[in-house]
Amino acid sequence: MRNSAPAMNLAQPLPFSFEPTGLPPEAERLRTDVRAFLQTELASLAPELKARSWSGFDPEFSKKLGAKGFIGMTWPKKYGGHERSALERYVVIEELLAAGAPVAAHWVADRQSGPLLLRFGTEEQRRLCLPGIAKGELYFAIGMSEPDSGSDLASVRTRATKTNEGWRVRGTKLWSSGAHRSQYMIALFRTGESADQRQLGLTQFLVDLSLPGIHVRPIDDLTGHRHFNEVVFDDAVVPDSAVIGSEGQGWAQVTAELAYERSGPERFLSSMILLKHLVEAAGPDPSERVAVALGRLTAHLQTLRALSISVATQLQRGANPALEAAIVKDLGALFEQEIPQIAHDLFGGEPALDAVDAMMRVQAYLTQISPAFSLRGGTREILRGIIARGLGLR
Amino acid sequence: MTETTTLLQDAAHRLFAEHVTPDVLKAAEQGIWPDRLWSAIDDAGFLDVLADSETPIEERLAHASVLLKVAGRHLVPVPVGETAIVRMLLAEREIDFPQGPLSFGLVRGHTHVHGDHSHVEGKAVRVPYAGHSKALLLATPDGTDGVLLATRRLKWNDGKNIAAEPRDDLVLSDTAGTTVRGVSGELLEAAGAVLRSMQIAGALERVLLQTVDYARTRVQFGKPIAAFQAIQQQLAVLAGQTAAASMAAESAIAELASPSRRRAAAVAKVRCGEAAGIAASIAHQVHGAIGITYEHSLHFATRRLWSWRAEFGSEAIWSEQIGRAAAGAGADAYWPTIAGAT
Repeated sequence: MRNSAPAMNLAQPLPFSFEPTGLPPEAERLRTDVRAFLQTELASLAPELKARSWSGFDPEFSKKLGAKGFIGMTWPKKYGGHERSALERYVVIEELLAAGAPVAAHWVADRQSGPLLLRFGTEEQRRLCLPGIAKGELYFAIGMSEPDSGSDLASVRTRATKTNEGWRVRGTKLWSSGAHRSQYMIALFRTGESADQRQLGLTQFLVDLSLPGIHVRPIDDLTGHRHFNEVVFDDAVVPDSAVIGSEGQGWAQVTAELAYERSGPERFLSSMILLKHLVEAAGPDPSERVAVALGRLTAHLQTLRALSISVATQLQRGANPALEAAIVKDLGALFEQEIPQIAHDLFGGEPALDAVDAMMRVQAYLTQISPAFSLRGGTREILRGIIARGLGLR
Repeated sequence: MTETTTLLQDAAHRLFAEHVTPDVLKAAEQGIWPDRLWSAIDDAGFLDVLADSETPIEERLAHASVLLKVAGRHLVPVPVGETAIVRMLLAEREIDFPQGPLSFGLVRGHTHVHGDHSHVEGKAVRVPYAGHSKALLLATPDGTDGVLLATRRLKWNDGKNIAAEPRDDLVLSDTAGTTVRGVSGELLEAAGAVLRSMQIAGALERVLLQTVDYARTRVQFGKPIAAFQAIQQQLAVLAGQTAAASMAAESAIAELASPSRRRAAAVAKVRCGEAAGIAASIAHQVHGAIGITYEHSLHFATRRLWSWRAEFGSEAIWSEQIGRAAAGAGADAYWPTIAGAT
């Protein structure tokens, strides 16, 4: 007979840690203010536009948010920020997303580009960009993926070559959301040769999208909505001052940038508007089947939020919960993607973007777009690979 | 974690590692009461973790959270949680309790309260460890007061869950006991759901550790099966389910003394129950045929996961309650119920 498993050390800690934590009172106090603001501002926004969540682009709304002090919340005041805590920002973001506010215009700048410039940017770059971002006037796109580089980001080929007047850039970036309406892009270019270590020789640049030689071509998504872009660099010349951080350190900077953005409320609230429609469709006295499904989703949502707040709290304390963040994003995407499927299972209406019934319009949009939820910001397979590495499997 | 909870966690791990061996688990499944284990738990003071009125309730619940999750990791085959919960409810009301194991459950029937004494009429089914307990705290599902019955003169039918843990049926016919004011059926249900959720959370951690360990040592096609992406992706799912279950259970036990306890208990039981099913399935798939044998220890955890997810209300039962409350409150109240009203 085979031996049974050797005695396990059951006292060993897990490689990840989540502790239930509440939000501090100063963060909760903001919630009242945000809800009141959104009640007024979103009163006439159509449900199918609310469903776009962080893909809904509205510069006027972004400027109003900026005026309220809800952009660049954690940044130093000297750059137009408001020196609030990451947990205060958490409350504002979750309220915006739960309400379906159109945050796309400033979203990338507030969430990724601004923090990246604060961390790695030059003083000149910060002064140039951060105040405008915080006002809700300056918008950013991400230039990471390329036609032949998706999950395998280290394979990027767009090359920046040093010249007398700066860097000459040739190549194509893809899936750059909002690039057609943004002033800047933070792009990852290959600046050095590295035969055996592809991660070396990459550099991040702050690119002014109005420069000659840069062509932005919108790509319609499968719903007909226009947010993606292909951005072609046809010997565009960017100045030396555009280099972010250290030349050749782009990979480390990008990895840090991505890791911090995997656990926020945007990772499980993308189908929130449909979930609210589902509650409405259930009515006050739902069938057992509908009540069970709705209760299950609610239990998932409540738990995801607790996990996400736990990661936000660790970030606020200066920890590096990259594994925890990957876990939250993986679970969050499953939840967001289930909602259109469950709405279909329970009610079986015929969704259409031009339906008379608002829920059918919302469901039509989310059914089509929800596959993106486990692609953007790291595919399901990449995330699970990160988790497996954290577990010591690879 | 505070220093006290860390010390408690270490002490519990040491005690259970010594006393809850595979042989003890096997014997318990044969109906042999692990006397040395029980005495060690009693001596360590674990049974009073919730009852000590000198300690603030938040702190007691934090201690219980740690203790019950560790007990879940070790699959402790005695009613630690049941006894600790009954002791808490009795101590709060200054009612004396007998030494030895205690348990609780729901009665389908009626209780008649006459001052400090009550009579019970009805059936209490699948009460954990009833036959091993000195006394049982029972309430009807919609009852507002509980009744404490000494088991000395009770008759029961031995039953077992699929992990062979005792779950006994009692027929109560005008049985006299002590009134326990304010211990409603709702409270006992919620406490039971939270207890099983904590145990599931602990057992999932065990299953994750054991399955990762197995994948790293089991060699097929010339390499550890952990090297295969198909296995890595499955274990990543297992990790996610473990994390979610722990969060739901720990959040619920922290709220056990608050007005929101029923909702938190429901959320925990739904989330932990679902995680239990997914995790057991992945763990067995990764272990292959050896995991299906009685000889291998995986089943001690998975059979408990399949039992515990059904006890004190399955996912469907608790989901329906959450769903009805959400639907009743309406769409505008939905998000404030999740994130808090202002």
